[in-house]
Amino acid sequence: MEQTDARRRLEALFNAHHAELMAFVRRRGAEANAEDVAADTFVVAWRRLDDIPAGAERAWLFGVARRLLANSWRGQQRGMKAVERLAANARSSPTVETGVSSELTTALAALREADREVLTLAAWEELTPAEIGVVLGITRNAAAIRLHRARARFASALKYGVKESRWLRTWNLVRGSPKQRREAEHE
Amino acid sequence: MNNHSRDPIAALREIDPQPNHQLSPAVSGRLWARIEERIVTDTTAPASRQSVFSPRRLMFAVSGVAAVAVAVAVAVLVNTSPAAPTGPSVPLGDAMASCLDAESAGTIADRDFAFDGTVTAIGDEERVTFTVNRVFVGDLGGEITLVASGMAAGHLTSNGGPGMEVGGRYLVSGDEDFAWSCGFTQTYSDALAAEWDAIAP
Repeated sequence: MEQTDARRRLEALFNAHHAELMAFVRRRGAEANAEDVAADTFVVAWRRLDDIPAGAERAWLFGVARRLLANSWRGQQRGMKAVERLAANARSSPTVETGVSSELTTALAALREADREVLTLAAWEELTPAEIGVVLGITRNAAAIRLHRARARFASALKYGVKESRWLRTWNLVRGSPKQRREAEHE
Repeated sequence: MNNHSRDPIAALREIDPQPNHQLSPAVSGRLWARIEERIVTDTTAPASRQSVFSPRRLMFAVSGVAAVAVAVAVAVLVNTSPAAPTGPSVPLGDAMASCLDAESAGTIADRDFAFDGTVTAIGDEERVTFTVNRVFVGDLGGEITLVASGMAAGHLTSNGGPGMEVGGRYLVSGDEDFAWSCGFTQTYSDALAAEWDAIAP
């Protein structure tokens, strides 16, 4: 690819997706270094322009940003921090107005991180299962199955409440964090 | 509408923490400038590049371009074609100049991190994962993955950077997610480790 063509392509990618990419990064709790991550993502895109799948550019960029974030957090368990902050805010502001969102955020925060991720990719990033597959590095079918199961668990948590959700309790017992497992055992 | 009877995905959109994607022109412009700063090599005059590059980034750029130069040189020497670049080619120009900063106790101390590590994996884009044996500078966990530009491509080495391989033990320093070459990352030796140890807080 000629240098000028490459440059034009990168500019087109930037113009089409940089705002959404910034929002994606911020949603994942990286408010302070969102611009760093976004810039790094486009530098990776520049180096790998030929690898970017046509028609899935946005998802590909999200996937790169996701990996950069995971690397920068280095196992600090800060992924999806924004969701947890939302839940905390909702719990600490039990007003009538926030009642609805409090239910939603509490149910969302109670899910496994993998469930939260796939749900928010579908809801907030408005990605299709095929695009979610690109972000997560899994097949479209696997993404569709994960999304289907996560929706079911989230709906169950909303309908029955987090503590009463059979789905959630089972999942927390089997796959939850140590804290979630302890809580599930005492329910 | 009651949350219980709604589509969960639609319900979640209500609590989107970033419902508005719009960025101000200033933010977009600043972001593009940062990207351009990293990718522009031949279309910007050297003088203006110097003015916008931070020392850290310029060091990285020089190091990265030097790695490309070494790749080309190695290929020419063995009379084979260089590996196909994964992105646009990078003109070499004056960037073959040596590192801007030389490794020393003082410059190591200024880095975000410095550690003694053993390579456990080498991934795409020259991402190298280390088990951290000892930390000299920074707050590191037991494992770290860094971009080791010019040091993780098997037979290639760049200025003062070792050719890393799985199982190898190195003294690594750098900033952000980058392990610097230019002497900032070297094959482990007790003598050098003792020097780095002396700068540890």
